[in-house]
Amino acid sequence: MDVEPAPDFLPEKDWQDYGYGIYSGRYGNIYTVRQMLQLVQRSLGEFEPKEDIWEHKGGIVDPFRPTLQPEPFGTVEEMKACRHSHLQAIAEMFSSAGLLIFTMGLTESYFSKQDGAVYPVCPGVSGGTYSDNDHQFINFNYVEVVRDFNTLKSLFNKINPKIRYMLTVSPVPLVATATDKNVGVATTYSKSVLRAAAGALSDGKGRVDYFPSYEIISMPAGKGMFYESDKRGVQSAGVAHVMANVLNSFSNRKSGSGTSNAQNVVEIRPKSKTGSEDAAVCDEELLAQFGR
Amino acid sequence: MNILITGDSHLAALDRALKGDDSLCQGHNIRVIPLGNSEASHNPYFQESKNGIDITLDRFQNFITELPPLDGQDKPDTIAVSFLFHTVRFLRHKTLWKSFSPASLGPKSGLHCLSLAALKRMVLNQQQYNLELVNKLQKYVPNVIALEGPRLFAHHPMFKENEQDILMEIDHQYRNIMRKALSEANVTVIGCPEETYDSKTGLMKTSFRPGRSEDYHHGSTEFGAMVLQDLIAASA
Repeated sequence: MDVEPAPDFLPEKDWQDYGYGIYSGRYGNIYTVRQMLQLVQRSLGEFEPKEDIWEHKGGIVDPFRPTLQPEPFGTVEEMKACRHSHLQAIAEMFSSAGLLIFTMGLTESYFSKQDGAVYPVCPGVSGGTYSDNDHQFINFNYVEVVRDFNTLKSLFNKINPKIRYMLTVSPVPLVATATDKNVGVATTYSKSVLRAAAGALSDGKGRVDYFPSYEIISMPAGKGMFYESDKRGVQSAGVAHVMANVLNSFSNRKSGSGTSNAQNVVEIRPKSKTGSEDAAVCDEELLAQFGR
Repeated sequence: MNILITGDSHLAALDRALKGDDSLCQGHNIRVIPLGNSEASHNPYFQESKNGIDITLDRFQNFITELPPLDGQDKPDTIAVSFLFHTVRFLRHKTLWKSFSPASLGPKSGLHCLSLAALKRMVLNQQQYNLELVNKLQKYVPNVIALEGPRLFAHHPMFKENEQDILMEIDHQYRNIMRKALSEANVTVIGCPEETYDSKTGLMKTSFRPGRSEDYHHGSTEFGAMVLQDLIAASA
């Protein structure tokens, strides 16, 4: 599904810069299950975060997709109009999708102390201003991840009870951590929590599936061959290998699995048309350079 | 003073005006040589050479092969180009404005909001070669000017197929984006004469239609004469 397609006259080479053609909607990177849950809640009008605008570079950005486009919006009204249109489009998508593919990326996040709204990046990195009074770091644990996903499922039960889920875990290690741990330790914690949660959430009945892209890329037997030279990014060959396995696995299923209709698939995972060696704008890189 | 006017079909109004009234030249040497259809200018159509700009697109070479022209006549002091504000080609897209609306109008049910930043990228992409041309021309002539051309006429069929406020806003934003880009390139813009359009609606007055009923966007001879006067004043 692509419910927010790029407009004609916008060259395909620029789509990614403006959030088009990356995911099924222009929501940007969804790193945590809490962020995903709140996205659905916001699209349904069930959650309206209090801190909902960030100033940035003389303009305005949406705190929930601050790197949507290279330039900030000119006015609050313009940003809010675009957000309204975006949430309307993805609300329809969530109510009609047959399969939700969700890649769990991180456990570390920042949230608003006012109402618990989680942000894709730390306030102050791509807009807004960080304040200890208003914001707080959180490193989700296993119980919280499982609970958030179950809440998400409950929401979908109301709007789209037939939807199925494919969970994966991102094999990309953390580039930095906001904990006081070594980044390797923080990565192992994060991936362990997410992998264990994904395993516990998959029900073995086909409604919630786990697909082992994490293992395909990161298992020691692979000797890291799918990683870029930075030992972090995944080569386009690795992504292609995973995708071939996903398509093979699901096309080999008996009819009725509900996952073969590619028109109704929602993707919440990083996707680059030209592979990860491209200079994809990545919030994590911003964090690495400017983050706390 | 030698003035060369080049570009697309909007030059016809200026050429008609010149040929109909010699006094409009005010003693200056004014030549009108088109390049061709503005749509073709959205793809590469020239390359820089030792003496100026070589036109490389066959269709354009029918009219002119280099800028400034090397045809033995005096080199122009001013080159005016009309390609840069032809918003109609952008606006009359068959489906785009049925599914997108500029964010400046606020959310519209069932339509995707188009941010000004994305619109700017679209416009500058469409105009990249024309902007490159006027930038390069500045090396070879003292004065390079962009001609805005007429605003929209209310009788254009595109208004029956799309919401008028969407088309008018996109047209307005397109022109603003180009004005800013040209200003940054130090290119003077001769705007659509204020007397020719309604200041409230932004639409052209019907009296400036060219006369042919099937023509929905070009200006009349009188319009051409007014633009010429502004051009001469700006070239002085």
